[in-house]
Amino acid sequence: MNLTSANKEMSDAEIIREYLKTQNSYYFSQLYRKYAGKVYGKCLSILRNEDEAKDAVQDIFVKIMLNLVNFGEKSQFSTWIYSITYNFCIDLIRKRKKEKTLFGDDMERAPDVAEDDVPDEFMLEMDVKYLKRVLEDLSTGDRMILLMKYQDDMSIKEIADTIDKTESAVKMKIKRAKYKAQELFNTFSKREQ
Amino acid sequence: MAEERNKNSFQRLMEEEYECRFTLPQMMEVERKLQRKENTYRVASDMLDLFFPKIIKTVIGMLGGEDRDENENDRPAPSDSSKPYKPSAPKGPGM
Repeated sequence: MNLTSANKEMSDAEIIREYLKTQNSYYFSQLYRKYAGKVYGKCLSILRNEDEAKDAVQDIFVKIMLNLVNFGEKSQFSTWIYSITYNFCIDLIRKRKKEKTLFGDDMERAPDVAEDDVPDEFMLEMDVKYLKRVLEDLSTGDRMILLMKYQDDMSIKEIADTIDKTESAVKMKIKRAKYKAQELFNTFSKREQ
Repeated sequence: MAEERNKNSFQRLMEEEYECRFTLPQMMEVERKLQRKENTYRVASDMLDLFFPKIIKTVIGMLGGEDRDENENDRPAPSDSSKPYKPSAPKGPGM
């Protein structure tokens, strides 16, 4: 079979099935080349260290290779791969900081009345220059949860499964992270006026 | 261009600031390491497939069990298999 032309029309799921059937590393390379940049980008934005991010990409793809047989096609492959990425970074940060409450217990508390719900449009249309500064100033947990929701378009359930929290806790965490993001944006934009 | 416009600020930030820093040489370097790991796992898996049954049999043997399938042919034949087995009578002093 001509492998170069074979995968032109293949979906991720088809490439995975073909890899598991043939064990031909060509297919795994296709998945790697498609997602390595995105995985690296996420690791870099979370870990903020280029060397750590590069090492993380390697470890994450080893995990993916070893667990590919467990990919049940219940979700999109991209969602599955990003969940592994976030979990890997969470573990790494916890080990590094010996921090157990990355997604703090404050998630379980009742909502603060002062925290108005920030519209999604505000987040999705924020100037990239400000968004970068806002994300850099947010806590790692807040940053991650906003990336999952707005960058990867993960559902509340998928986020809850990834960080092992309840769906209501995730909703609360998103609401708070958006509120903090808006406050940071206001601070930065005022400074520039 | 239309696809670019459809991307939200988070997706554009990720592409413009983070993903692009993963250069092609870095990508290839990690890919080579992954291929080496894949080969190592493959060899380890083959070795395990080859030796796992033997290891299990050895462990069972060490625990006092016996592997009938393997040892059946190696065991010396009884001197007279037609006679039913009788435990030997206890021998007391002077018997």
